[in-house]
Order: sequence, then C-alpha cells, then structure tokens
Amino acid sequence: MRFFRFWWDFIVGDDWRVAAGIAIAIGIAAALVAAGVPAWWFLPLAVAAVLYASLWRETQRSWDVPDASLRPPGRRAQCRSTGPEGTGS
Amino acid sequence: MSAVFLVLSAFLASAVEMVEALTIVLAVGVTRDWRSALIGVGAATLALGAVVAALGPALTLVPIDALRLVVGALLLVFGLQWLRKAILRASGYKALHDEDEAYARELAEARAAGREERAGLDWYAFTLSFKGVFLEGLEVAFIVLTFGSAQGSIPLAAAGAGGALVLVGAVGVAVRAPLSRVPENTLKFAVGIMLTSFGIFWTIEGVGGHWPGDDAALPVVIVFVAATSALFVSLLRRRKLALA
Repeated sequence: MRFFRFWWDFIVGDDWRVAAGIAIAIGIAAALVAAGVPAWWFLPLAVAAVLYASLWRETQRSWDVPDASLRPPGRRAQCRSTGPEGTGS
Repeated sequence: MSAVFLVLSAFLASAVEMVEALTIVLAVGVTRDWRSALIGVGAATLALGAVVAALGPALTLVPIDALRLVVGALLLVFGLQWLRKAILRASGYKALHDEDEAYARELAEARAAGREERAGLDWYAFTLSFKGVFLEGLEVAFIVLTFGSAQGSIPLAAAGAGGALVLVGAVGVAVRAPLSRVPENTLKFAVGIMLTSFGIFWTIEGVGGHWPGDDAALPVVIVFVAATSALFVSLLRRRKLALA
C-alpha cells in the first residue's frame, strides 16, 4: 500500500485533475495527428490551460499565505493548510 | 542543443532530490550517530544500484515512440506538479519551503527517538538515513533513466545527476548544515519548466507528431513554458493584492 502511495504522490501529486487533464489533452493530440492535423501547437496551449485551471482552483480555496494579514477579512476563517509537501516537488 | 538541456535538466532535478536526502542524513548524523547514518547511505546506494541495473536494460527494449509517449506524459504531470507549487510559492499563496525548518524538525524527531542497537548500529539512524537516500535516490534514478532513454543517452543524463551529486555533496561537507543557501524555489521553478517542456516535446513525438524545425523547437517550448509561468505568477500576485 505504501508503495502505491509513494508512486501516486510522486507522479500525480496534490491535484489529480492535472493528471486527468493532461491525459485528455494527450488523447486529443493523438486524435489530431491521426486525422492528419498538426498537433504541435495544441499541447503547449492545453498544458497552459490545465495549469492555470489548477492554480485558479488552489488559490480560490487556499489562503496559505505566510502573512495572514494579506488574507481578505471574509476569507480568514476559511483558511486551511495546503497539507504537507508532496514528494519530489 | 538538446544534449545541453538533457544534462541541465537531469542536473537540476537531481540536485533538488539530493538536497532533501542530504538534509535528512545531516540531521541524523549530527544528533545520533555518523557511522550508522553513513552505513545507511552506503546500503541505500547499493540497493539503488541493484534497482537501476534491473530496470535500465528493460527500458532499452521498448520502442522509442512508445517510450517517448509514456515518458513525455509522466514528465508532463510530474513537471506540472513542480511548476504548480513553484508558482504558488512565487506568488505568495504557499509558504516557501524552508530547509532550516525541515532540518530542525528532523533534529527534534531524531533526538526524541529511543536508542535501539542492532548489529552494532544505531537502528534509527541507519533506517532513517537509508529511507531518505533510497527514496530520494529512486527519484533521481527515475529521472536519469527516463530522460536518458527517451533522448537516447543515459550516460549524458547520468553525467548531469553525477554533477549534482558532486556539487551537493561538496556543499554538504563544507557547510555541514541544511542547504538553506540554495535558492530552493528558483531551482524548483527551473526544474518544473524543464520537465514540462521535455514532456510536451516528447509527447508530441510519441503520438506521431512532428515539431517545426525538429530539435530546434525545444528551446522555443522552454521559452513558452517559462514565459507562461512568469505570466501566471504575475496574474496571481495581482489577484492576491486586489483581494487583500
């Protein structure tokens, strides 16, 4: 069990949606190539979109800032830790 | 051109993992027993050597396009983890990882643990040191094998990791303290950019696509990923200030 936990943390990390988004993007890139459409432009844009969506989500729900005074008053009560550091990052 | 990026990526990624392993070994060595800690390092290195010797040749039997697709996809999700955290730290949403704090925590845990001797070794020092070096070393081995196999040169990737080992080891011996002088988030930002860029590049080749200009496209991808990440840091910083 700890073995699988290690590899899950190592590869997937904190946000499984990133891994899922990348899997879908790779599928679309493969479909584009199979259809004879150049796919090189698609993946960088898809990666940027997946990353930004994940960052947006994290910053919406997490206010783990070192200086608590920077949190908006309405959000201070909702502050939660983002948890321990993931393996390898 | 891509050989330079290969060595640099393997160097940076390995250096980050080695700093983490070194922090554990230093904390255990200082508080418990240097002999047991160093024997733990040696045993972990031997175990790692066995794992790499078993996995390395198997990777060379896989067709190159399939390997690039699997490695590219892995590097993409792996690289995005690093990049995501580095951007959150750089924009102030996540505390900077503090090696001093990690070192102090390891010290406190090591001092609190009872002493148990097995085979003449302080078992706590041995196992903690072994675990730290083996797990971080496994990550380094994974980086070297995947980078090296996909680019067709494991020795070049190993050279990058070897350079990191020499540098981190020398710094560790010189300071004998946590390596808090290493600008960790900058290093992680760079690693995230390199892993993500290689991931994008190899995944497209793995699904049968082609880059305009072939290998010359890689630096362009790196610039794109770096610029996009810098833009995200700037956007998140502005957003945080606007909400504050």
